[in-house]
Amino acid sequence: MLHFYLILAWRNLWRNKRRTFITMFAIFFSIFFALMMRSMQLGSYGSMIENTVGRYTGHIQVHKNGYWDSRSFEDLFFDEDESILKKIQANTEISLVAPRLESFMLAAGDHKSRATLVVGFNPEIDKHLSNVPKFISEGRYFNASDSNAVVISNGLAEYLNLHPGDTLIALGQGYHGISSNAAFPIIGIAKLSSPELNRASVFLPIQTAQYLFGAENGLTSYSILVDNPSKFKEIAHKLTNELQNPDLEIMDWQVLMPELIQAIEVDSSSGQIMLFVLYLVVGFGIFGTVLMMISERKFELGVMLALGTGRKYIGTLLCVELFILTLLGSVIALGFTYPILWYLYLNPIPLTGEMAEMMLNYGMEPIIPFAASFEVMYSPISVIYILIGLISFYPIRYAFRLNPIEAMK
Amino acid sequence: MAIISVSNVEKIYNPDTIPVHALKQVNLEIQKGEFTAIVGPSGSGKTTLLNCIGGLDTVSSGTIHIKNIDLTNLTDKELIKFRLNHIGFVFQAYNLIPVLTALENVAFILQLQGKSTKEAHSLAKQMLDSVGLSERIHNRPAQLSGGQQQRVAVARALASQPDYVLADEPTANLDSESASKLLDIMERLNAEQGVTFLFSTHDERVIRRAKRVVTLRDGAISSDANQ
Ligand SMILES: Nc1ncnc2c1ncn2[C@@H]1O[C@H](COP(=O)(O)OP(=O)(O)OP(=O)(O)O)[C@@H](O)[C@H]1O
Ligand SMILES: [Mg+2]
Repeated sequence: MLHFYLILAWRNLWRNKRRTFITMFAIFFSIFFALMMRSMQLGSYGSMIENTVGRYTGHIQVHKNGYWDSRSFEDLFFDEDESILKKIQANTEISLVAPRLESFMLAAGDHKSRATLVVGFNPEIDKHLSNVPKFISEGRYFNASDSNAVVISNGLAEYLNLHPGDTLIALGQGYHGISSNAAFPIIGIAKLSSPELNRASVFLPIQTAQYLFGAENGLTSYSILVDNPSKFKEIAHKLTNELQNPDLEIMDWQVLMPELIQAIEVDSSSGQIMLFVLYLVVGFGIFGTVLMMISERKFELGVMLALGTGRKYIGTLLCVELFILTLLGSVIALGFTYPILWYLYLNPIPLTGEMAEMMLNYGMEPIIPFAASFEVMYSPISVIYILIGLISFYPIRYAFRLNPIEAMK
Repeated sequence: MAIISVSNVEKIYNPDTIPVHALKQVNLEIQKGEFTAIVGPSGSGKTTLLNCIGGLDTVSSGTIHIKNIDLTNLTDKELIKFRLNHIGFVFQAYNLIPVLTALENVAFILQLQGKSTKEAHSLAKQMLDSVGLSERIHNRPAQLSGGQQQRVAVARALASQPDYVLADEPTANLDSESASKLLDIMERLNAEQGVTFLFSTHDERVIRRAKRVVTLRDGAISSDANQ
């Protein structure tokens, strides 16, 4: 009998070809538009996250318990035998572990001074995370023989009027309150993507920093990159279980950077409102089609009921028609849109002119990135089917209220 | 025992607003194998009576027994099933499903009754054959004349092997030649297979061919005669 439903529904759809095409096009268009928009949004969030998280913070960080709240230099942890490092690295889903010792100091040139972030890192490892070598605008990055040298951010260099070859004076406090003062030759200037980091940062090899702060082997964090950024939460959770160390806190980037999450949520919900309006319009369009589909067949449905066709059967028949229509529209839309998204995901649209300039200034690639993940398709497709599910209440209700005599008048 | 027995049926439309007394104390018995016409002026209640006997409309009071089942006691769902298995319908016009071929229109009812597609199609073919349409079984209603469509409707009404066939003005939309051909077929099925027909009509030529004529006037039976 299912076979019969399908034949009947299929032929009924083609009774009014133009209307069927228009409705299918509405479904097609809404899915196409929603997919493109969602893909662009998720793509840009992905690049926002990669530009901040993936270019400095890391997806996950390990600190001494309490460090993130106190930011105190007293909350260091020590990993002399590298047992913590080895446990982290044993995790196959982790692609990079960067040890860091960070603090704030006063940096001075000839005439001015500014409070600055001082990052002791492993130049070899951290070049994959903080990407500093990619942003070098003057001078050069560290090589293996540099131990007593610094790279400073472009904003700091401009403010202090310093260039490669000049000397940077650093004044501050180290571990247990010892005073740490030093002078370092500047080997390079980096124009960093994050405005905050670019304003005032100093990078130097971690051993030099540990010596400067009187904290041998001391670390503020292991910053971790994972292979699959979407799985960071699971991996952070797994890591917590694996390390089993009550002295350490394991935080993912969503906890580390709540502002970023908020910015994404605000943007995302404004997009959702637009899509909601679109869905509403399309929903009413489909509903209109359903009304017409039913009202022009009133007589025929009345005859079917009079002859002894069950109400359930009539309701199902109408729903099957609606479902075939939606299935066709959505399959065509997916088949058409997905290759485009995939192409744009692999070949993002390049930006030109002022926009490109602005993005380059922030050290970002001047492109409109697209996402092509399951997440992109998931919500538009499910919304359309939920809409259809709601709309199908009407034909069902109609079938259960149909009066054969009225209908056959 | 009568197939249909209508006792003391009253039908009042809109009892709460503008009541229309469409059937008044109607009593009627139809035996198996009858070929009966219900006649009467427009508005006399022919359609109303047929709808009540067909389980399409409810009565205001009285009972309608089909064999020993009281239609007035059945639920909507039971009525639908009853119509499918016990009653054949031929309506005035346009009562075929437009997207189905003649064959499928007839087979549809059989499939609803639970027969396999194969069985339904072979039975439907026989039925269409018996109404003289074996050449047109793959045509859709739009490709058939009004008379041919009505013959398909008769084939459909009979395919389910109902206890009786109800036809409300089956010839009203047909020219006299098609009407007479339809009547020939109905008469033959009645004579050869003993199918019980109950139909309403205005048409003098059709009335002449009925074996029994029940006349309604203002919702009441005014005469009932065999001829
Ligand atoms: N749904 C309804 N609501 C109110 N009154 C109705 C309704 N249906 C029929 N009537 C009335 O009931 C009476 C009987 O109508 P019915 O249709 O049974 O007559 P009929 O004999 O079939 O007439 P015709 O020969 O014109 O088909 C008429 O007065 C009609 O106006
Ligand atoms: Mg009538």
